[in-house]
Amino acid sequence: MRYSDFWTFLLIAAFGPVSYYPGLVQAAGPYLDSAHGNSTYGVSRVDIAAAGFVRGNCAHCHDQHASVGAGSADLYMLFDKSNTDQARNLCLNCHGSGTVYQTGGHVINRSYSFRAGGWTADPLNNVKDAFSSLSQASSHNLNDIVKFAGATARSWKYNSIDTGNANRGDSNACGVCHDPHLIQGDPAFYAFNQNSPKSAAARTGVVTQINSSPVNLWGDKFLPDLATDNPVERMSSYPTYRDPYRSTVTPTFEPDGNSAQQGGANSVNYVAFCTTCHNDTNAIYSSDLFRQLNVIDWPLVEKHGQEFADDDIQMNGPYSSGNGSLGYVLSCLDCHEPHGAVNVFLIRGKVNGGVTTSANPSFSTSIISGNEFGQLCSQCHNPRPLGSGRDWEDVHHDNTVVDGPYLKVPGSCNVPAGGCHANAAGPPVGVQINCYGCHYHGAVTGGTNPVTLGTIPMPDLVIGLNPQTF
Amino acid sequence: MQKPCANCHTMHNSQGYAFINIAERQDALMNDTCVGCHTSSSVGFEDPSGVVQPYVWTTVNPGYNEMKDPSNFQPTLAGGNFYWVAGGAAAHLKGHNVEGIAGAFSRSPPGDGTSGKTFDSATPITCAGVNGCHGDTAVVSQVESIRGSHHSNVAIDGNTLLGSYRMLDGVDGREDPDWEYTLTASDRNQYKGAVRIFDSEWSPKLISSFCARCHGNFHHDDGGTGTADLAFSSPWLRHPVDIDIGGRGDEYAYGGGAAPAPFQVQTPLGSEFFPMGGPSETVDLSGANGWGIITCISCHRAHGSPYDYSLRWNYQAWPGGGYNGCGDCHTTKD
Repeated sequence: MRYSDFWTFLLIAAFGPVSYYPGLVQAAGPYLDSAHGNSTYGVSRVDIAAAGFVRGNCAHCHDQHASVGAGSADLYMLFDKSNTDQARNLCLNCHGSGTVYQTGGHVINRSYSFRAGGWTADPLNNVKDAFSSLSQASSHNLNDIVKFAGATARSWKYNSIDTGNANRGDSNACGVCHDPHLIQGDPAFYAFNQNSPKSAAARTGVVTQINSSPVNLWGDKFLPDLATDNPVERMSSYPTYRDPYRSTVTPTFEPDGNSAQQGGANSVNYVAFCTTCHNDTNAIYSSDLFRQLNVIDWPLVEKHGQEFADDDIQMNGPYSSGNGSLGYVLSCLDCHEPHGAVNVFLIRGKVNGGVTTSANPSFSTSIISGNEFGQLCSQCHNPRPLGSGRDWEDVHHDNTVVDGPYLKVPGSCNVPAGGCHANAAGPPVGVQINCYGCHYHGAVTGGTNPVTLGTIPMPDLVIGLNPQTF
Repeated sequence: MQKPCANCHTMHNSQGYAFINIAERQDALMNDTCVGCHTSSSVGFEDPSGVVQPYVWTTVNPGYNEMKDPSNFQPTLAGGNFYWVAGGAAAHLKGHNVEGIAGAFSRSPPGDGTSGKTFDSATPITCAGVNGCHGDTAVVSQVESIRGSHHSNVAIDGNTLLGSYRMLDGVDGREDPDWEYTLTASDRNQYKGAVRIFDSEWSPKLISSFCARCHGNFHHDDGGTGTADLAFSSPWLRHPVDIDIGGRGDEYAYGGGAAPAPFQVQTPLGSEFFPMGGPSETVDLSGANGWGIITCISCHRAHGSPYDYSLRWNYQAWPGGGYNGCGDCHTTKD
């Protein structure tokens, strides 16, 4: 429940429905509480502002008679095409770059790595570029989203008709995650502090619960209310969640730079949010990867989810090394950007206080032969807990102190044929095999990698049957 | 109308040693034009001679009470007032720029789909006749087009000109005797609407269909944009008219969502039927049963208002000021 709703509830409870004078009854909806509806910093299309409409007015997005800007009107009475492709979308007219419709210039929207992770070197400052292959290595495919959300079995709001053609005005990919009439900005006053850490007051409510009715701001945190401000909407609902580092120099934590660990009390529960789509039952085809996406069973299977590590894990802070039921749970946004990223698979440019692109700025397409993923994993996992010469050697091959499921047999690193390493002596220092070969969502020993098509070797030290490798 | 003939007609075009009409001949021995008779220099409703006639243009600001708050009475009638559109070129969006009141622009009506009309100084919008709204729109002469209408008081059914709502030929409706000079939920006009199923449905008896004679594309969901949307259903390309908001649930809680809901005079809903005994203070929105119909008049004044696009409320100033009339129906969008 929003703050204003709460007080309205109290007023109604005390005095009955508000009536300004007999006959006039107008219910108060949430639009004015949204970022778009704000009269100070809300939506303001240049042409409509020039026609005398104040900021936040419906006419900035909706053309009641499809008579402004001939030929470009679209369904939902929108003034421009709702969804065309990765570069043209009604929302991107203001949340874009270059010449935009919004009075005063485009809306500044930073990456999650910038705002939550403190990666201020990231030049990205708008959503349109976040979805562009010209500036990002990967991004959510907007047409794929439309096809998924608009499928007959779903027909989610703003994606209501299954046409097999995403380029229709009755669907808009942005609306799957952001209800335009409810969503709040972060920070609330976009003209100020737009480059700041995510703010204490407005860090939540930037998404709306997918396919909820009524539409629910997801993660909003104002006054306690069991109806919508449920603690489940925040990562603190997982007792073993830890805020990643925003900075490791003088330790501060995501998402707002707090110097104290909040255990997810400040963070939106993006696990519940993202797994509305990315779960273990939905089949989602990626037009970019030319395959079905890996399924994700975060609650019951994945170790980065709510399942436990099989054995010892050697960690960097804020996570503790150990064995047994450590059971840390990660948020999807601890590793992934929501819109687009400089790395493949929407991997953030900065994770747990470390920049993932420092050694391989592209971290882009060579996911099979390179070792770029090690940069991601090593932000949280310690690659050399025993100080050996090779990253990741200890954790894979030492079975005395740390988790080393594969016995180290010098001269036989390429056995059996097609095994882990190409040469018998193992990889040269600095040329480790790519983590992705064995570790990805849903990966299990004995399973087949959907990209490399290689088989994940069974461990020499079997801990249960076909243990998960992710 | 039952008043002395001389109130409107002149036998010899002479009175008090002066011509009544110098510039032009008036058909039917009228002593003035439509605009002349329906114009006042005061904001009163009844002129000193006791003739009751609706003033559609006052040459002084009549004031405007967009919420029609009874405690803040302003004598603007149901169709609004041409006062504001008469304010020069900068005010041209505030009403219909009728000949004799406001200058003409050379353009076709916004949303025109079929009329083919272009109004300019040579063929301006008029009150009646072929380029007007009132009377027989097939007749060139304004006076001739409304022949007999001022002398008739037959029941309104839209079947004849004399039986048409406000002399809008063919339109049905229920007329408030004082043109909403006083206005409450039970003391008002009742506009004729219909529950459409198909986009192409059109009936001359509907107030919105009447507007569509010139603003035709605005009556249809798909007309004139090149975007095909033949179904008369959401998602809409244009805001629909002749659609019932009753029973829609979701964001539509007109009148606070009560059942029946209090009628909102600032956003009047039309109806397919007319209640016995006059307008009701409430509207049945329990289903799409023909009682809660959106019409053009739900948002616009036919003559003029202080606001652009002749809107009933100062929508441009909302949020932060003005009034969000949209929010009367789209109650979660406020």
